[in-house]
Amino acid sequence: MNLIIALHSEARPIISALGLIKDPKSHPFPLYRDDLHNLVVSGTGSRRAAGATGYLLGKGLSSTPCFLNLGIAGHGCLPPGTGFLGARIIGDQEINAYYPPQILQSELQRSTIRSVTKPITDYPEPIGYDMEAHSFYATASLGTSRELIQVLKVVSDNPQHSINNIDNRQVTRLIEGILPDFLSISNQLDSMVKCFSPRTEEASLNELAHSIHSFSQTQAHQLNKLFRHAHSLSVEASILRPVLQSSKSPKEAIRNLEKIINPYRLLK
Amino acid sequence: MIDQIYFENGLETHFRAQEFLKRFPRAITTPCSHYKEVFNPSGQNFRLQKRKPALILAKQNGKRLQSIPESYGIGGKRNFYFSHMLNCLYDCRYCFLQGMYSSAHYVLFINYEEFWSDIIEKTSECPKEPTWFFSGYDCDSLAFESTTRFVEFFLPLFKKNENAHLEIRTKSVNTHVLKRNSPCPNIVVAFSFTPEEISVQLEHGVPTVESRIKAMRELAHDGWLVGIRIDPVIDCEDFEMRYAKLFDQLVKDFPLTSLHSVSLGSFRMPTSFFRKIEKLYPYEPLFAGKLNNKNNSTTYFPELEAKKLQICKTLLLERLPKEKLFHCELNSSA
Repeated sequence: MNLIIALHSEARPIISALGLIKDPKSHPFPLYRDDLHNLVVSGTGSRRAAGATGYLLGKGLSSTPCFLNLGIAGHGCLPPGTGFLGARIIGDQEINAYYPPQILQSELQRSTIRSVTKPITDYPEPIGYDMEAHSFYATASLGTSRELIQVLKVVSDNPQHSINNIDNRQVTRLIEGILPDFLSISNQLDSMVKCFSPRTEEASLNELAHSIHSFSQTQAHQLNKLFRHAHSLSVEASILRPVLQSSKSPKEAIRNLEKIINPYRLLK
Repeated sequence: MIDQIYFENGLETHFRAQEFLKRFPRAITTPCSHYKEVFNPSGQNFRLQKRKPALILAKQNGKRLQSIPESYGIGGKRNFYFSHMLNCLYDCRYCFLQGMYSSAHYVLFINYEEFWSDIIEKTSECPKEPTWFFSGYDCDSLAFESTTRFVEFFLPLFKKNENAHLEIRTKSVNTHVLKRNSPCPNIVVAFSFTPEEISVQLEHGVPTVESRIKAMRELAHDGWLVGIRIDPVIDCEDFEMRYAKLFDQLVKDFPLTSLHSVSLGSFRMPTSFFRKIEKLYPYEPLFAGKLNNKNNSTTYFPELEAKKLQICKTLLLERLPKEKLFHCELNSSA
């Protein structure tokens, strides 16, 4: 899970809840990590959000390519403290709107978010206002599936509660208020990725094959496909291992694997 | 069932859109400029979206009727298909829609009246010859009826225009709208089947074979013209035995006077679609079958395909009159 958060005061409760450790080498963005999460404090504004998202995409640190932008936002009608997910994300120009697929199970409100270049105080529409979501989404969608990119905001200000009265401590408290929602969303996104991960058995067969033979790119592709099919057709790895070991060349290994797998190619 | 509804700007005042919005009072509604803005972007995952598809209310302003060759039809010379909806309530693993669309959201085109005026126009081009319209290519014609009221709208119109013939293709047992009406000689209700063992493995969310046969039989007894679609034919263990059993189930207590047509089609789809679907479901046994990519189409190896189709044909001819049987080729499985 990759988290892009504008302010330290917003990130603090998440860092603490997940027990993330600061990466001393990270530059130019502060990066907090554990085995499953990468959290970048981007700073405010669209350029910084895009840069931080690109930074995480480029680093390719996470095995789970989920991206979440979390932070405070103004809102035209929702009361302060209300968490909501971005259902439509528009920029100042209203071109290139993004529609994060709403496939998460959550009681949270959904709202349009307009990412503005300067903080606003007049809230002209009954929607959310922030400064990062649009550029975050535009960048993240270059590198991962849109279902795995979500925007979670908590209302800090609205027509009755001015942004000028919000201090860092209040920001932290607002984020703490949506921690249960954040954790639920984070778990759901991570579990979605699992259905696409290669099975461990397949990975171990691949490792064995490559330790015995030197496969060309094309052969490696054929091999991957054969192991995937073997798994789909419930062909035991214990049948395939001896074939790999007894074959004298990569070509022969592939041919022999095919001979073993082909009779299983029938729907039960 | 529907938690999120997108609607094209301006459509929220359309009477049919208002009906849908009333039907899902708890759904979150989000405007969009054009349905393609939500539906078409690349980088969407059909499989993930299938967990919780949204409804998109849109207007079909493009070409609403598409022609299809005579050889794909069921006896008519002039054949067209139209889609009031894109995507299906069900989740059949062999369905080409998974490979054709980026999104699993349901797009519902609510300008039914304009579809109808196109149908009338097309029919009047050739008043002496029946014109066939197929409605179930990009969706299931009946499964979403309680929401779309598609059949409820079109049925009386087709009833009054006997030269326009309609095929409603479905795997649904939601036949109330038909049972409420008297049979119509220019409407065929076509049900698709695979043997029970295959259906359980591949047709997720689809009513059981037994319940579909029951629904079909009831309509036939009421006098509705019924079509049987054995499409796609799927290679499997005990192939002959399973298909023979299915065909026995289908003809049992079935009034043959109500049987319009039976068609057979093998598993087939454009290779680009197949590759996309294979990535979505890398461990699906169906895709590890004896398949062959040729001429941009993925099918079973030709000898295998011919053999399986021949078995089905023989089994069907043992049970049904020859003139009822049609063979569809090259169009995709759904």
